[in-house]
Amino acid sequence: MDKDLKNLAEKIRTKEELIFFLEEIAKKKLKLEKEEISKLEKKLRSLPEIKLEIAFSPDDNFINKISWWLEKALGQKIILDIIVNPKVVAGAIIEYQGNWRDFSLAKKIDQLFASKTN
Amino acid sequence: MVFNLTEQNIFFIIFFILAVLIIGVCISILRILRKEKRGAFRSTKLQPQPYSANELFLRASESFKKQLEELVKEEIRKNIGNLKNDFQKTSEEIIKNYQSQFESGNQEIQKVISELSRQATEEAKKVSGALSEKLTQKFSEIYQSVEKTLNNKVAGTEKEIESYKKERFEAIDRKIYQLLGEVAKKTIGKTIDLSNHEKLVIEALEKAKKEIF
Repeated sequence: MDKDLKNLAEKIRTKEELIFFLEEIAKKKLKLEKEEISKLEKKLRSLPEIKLEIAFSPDDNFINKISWWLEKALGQKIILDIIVNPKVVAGAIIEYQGNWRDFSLAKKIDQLFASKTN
Repeated sequence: MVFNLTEQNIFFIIFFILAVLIIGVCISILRILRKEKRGAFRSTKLQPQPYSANELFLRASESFKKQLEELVKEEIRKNIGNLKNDFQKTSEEIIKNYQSQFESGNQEIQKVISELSRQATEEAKKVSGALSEKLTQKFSEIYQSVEKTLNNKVAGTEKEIESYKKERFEAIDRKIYQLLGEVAKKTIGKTIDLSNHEKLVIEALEKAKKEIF
């Protein structure tokens, strides 16, 4: 298999990048490489995914930072599914392997309002 | 029997009748004069004519004149009466003839009028049918055109409303986020810039690490 392709696969951080990569290899699929590419595809598809709902559009550095942080924290490569939602206000809503947590500032504000009104 | 009496013919008839009457009167006068002459000739032949006899003759001539005049008048009256009757008869016949002609002409006119009326009705029906068809077609075209225009207008208006709604919602959202930012500032005691956002996300991930990773 092409070394560049493998290096590129190593650099995948987000779900968008993964989809783009899979589409690209689907276009370049050759008969000789078919088996190896299928293996890579299978491997990439099996990577754990973490959904992050945040209030701002992250830049490249911040995506690298999170990706590295998560890889270190979980001990394996993670695919980031980042959703930009201003209603979150700040912080993040995180979903990982069926577990969901709301660490957003919007929730804190809601709680504050609730406590003030009660 | 058909009479085609023109004015000329009527004049001719009247003239003819008058001429006959005048001739008749003249003939009567001549007859009377002859009788008188014969009588006078006989008396002069048989007896000598004295002056008194001539006077009688003159007297007789006066009465004769009167008789003659009366006779002529009577004859004229009779002839005028006859003429009147004839004229009346002829006039009646002419009137009758004209009346019958007028009636037949009237009937013809009635026939023609009724025929024309029938034809006009048929033509009117045909024209009305064609007109009605054209009107229906035109109405349908206008209706379709109006419907199309209205649909386009409605679609345009709906689009405008939709875009207005979107715009308004976006404006409301912006205000909400602005408000939330201000609230956040009051809640955490600082404004949220990009670095704060990043810090808060990392904080959230650290919390998640403890809870779900």
